[in-house]
Amino acid sequence: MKVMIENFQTNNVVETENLTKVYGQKTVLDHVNMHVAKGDIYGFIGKNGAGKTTLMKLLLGMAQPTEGQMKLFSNGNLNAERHRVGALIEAPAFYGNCSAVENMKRFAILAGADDNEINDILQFVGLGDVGKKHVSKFSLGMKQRLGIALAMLGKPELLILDEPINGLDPEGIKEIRDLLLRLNREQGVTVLVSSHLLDELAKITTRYGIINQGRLVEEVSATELMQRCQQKLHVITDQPAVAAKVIKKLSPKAVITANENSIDVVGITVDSAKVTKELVKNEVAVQDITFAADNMEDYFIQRMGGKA
Amino acid sequence: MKKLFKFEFRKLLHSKSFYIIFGLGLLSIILFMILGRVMSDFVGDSSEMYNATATMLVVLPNSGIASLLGTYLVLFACSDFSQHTIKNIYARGYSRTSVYFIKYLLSLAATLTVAIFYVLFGFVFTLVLGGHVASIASYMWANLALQFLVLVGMHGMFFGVAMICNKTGVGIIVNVVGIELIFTLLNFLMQIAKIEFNILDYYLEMILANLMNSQQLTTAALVRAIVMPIVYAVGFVTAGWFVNRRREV
Repeated sequence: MKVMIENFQTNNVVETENLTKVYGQKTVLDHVNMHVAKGDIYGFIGKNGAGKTTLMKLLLGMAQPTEGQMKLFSNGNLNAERHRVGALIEAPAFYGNCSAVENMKRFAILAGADDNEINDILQFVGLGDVGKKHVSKFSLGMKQRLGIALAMLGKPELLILDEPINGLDPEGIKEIRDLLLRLNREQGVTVLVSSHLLDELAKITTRYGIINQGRLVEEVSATELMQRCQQKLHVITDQPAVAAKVIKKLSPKAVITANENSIDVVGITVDSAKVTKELVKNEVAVQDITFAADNMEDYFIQRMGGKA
Repeated sequence: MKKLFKFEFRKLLHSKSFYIIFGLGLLSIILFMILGRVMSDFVGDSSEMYNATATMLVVLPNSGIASLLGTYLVLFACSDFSQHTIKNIYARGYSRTSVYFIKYLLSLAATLTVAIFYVLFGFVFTLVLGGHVASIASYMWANLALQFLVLVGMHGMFFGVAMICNKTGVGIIVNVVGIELIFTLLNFLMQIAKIEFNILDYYLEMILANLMNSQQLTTAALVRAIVMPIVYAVGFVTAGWFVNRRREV
């Protein structure tokens, strides 16, 4: 058990413990315990004002927590580890009256990157040919790409991106999505990303953190979430154990959860008519039988405190 | 720290406002010297204006350096805040204290370099205008050193104000107009209340102006020229650091 805990700690790139931020009377973050493991693409989901940006700002030293602990790469000395982090928080920030290259060169000094890396990154994000055009004249999409390029300087091991696909057209969204996947798969970069575009996030995320009114409601892996959102059979009966046995016989791979007066079945391969017929044949009194499929978006909305 | 220093230095070197503002100072010195030369020729007493060495003492108080410094320091110190690029700096693990003091030290070094350049320019330009090099009394070197000390005080005050205001417009108004206005107002109120205390004696720009008449300096004025810049620099820089210490970006 001890070994498992140690492994868990060393594998976590981001860890928070009871992280709390209060502004005046308003609690923006409420005892958040977040865990982002090495190699994760962690989708951080929540409504506007739920506390996503605040948490990211605390991790990056842009604001101070009211209470709680944070660790980056299992180290509580955050400034010592922040050079391993690239970030884009809220709108991308740069010197508007300079070119993309000059902006990159300035921040490359802080990140310890060289000219080759600058050129590679600019090519990578599709800004290799913008020349000396001032950044203030860039389109929203170009600014967003430059923001990501700045975050990538210094080959960070962790990227913290707050709404990185905001303002991008569908093609740009796909490019950024592919870029994050490539960074994650080819270079092992861990990504903590927030977005309102749940569908887009779902395409790359390996783990989700759902935050609502400052509280981290749930951390769940993408696989686990997929299972939860699969088609589910709900049978209301006074004989859940017998019903479970009958359904298991019909569909051996189904995962059955028996409750007091009902059973939930996930991964069933036969239709409800056949299930009903078989239950009746085995003299199981069925009060109700329904097939339900949770839409992932509905699931998120429910967990985020909305109505699906 | 070295990376942060290089980063700020690159910004300074690429800053157009730096060259424009201190170019204005240079222009002001040129105008002052040409006008001075014309007037002294007119009056017929040109001994001081022809003395390139003595000219060095009057260059800084006549360069308009206070207003220029008050403007430039706000632009330099607040640029990362107004453009939100400070987020990128903090996110890379540079502490608020190191960012603050690197900005302070670099801008101080730039200010002193520009001031030395102004003084040397004054010397050379006097020669260009047909002046000569005369021997300089030792107290004059001390006076020049005091002028630089006052400049350190001014720099600290303007820098501290810039970091406290943290907004370009407000910072420039406070530095260029606000501080002078406060002193003038206080002086006015004291006169009304018949308090025999000349607060303007403690105003750095006045102290710098007084240093031009170095032969008439009283001991009290001399003490003020030594103590006040240190008080201003330490006070304002500390206040700026304190306010900036936990400020969210």
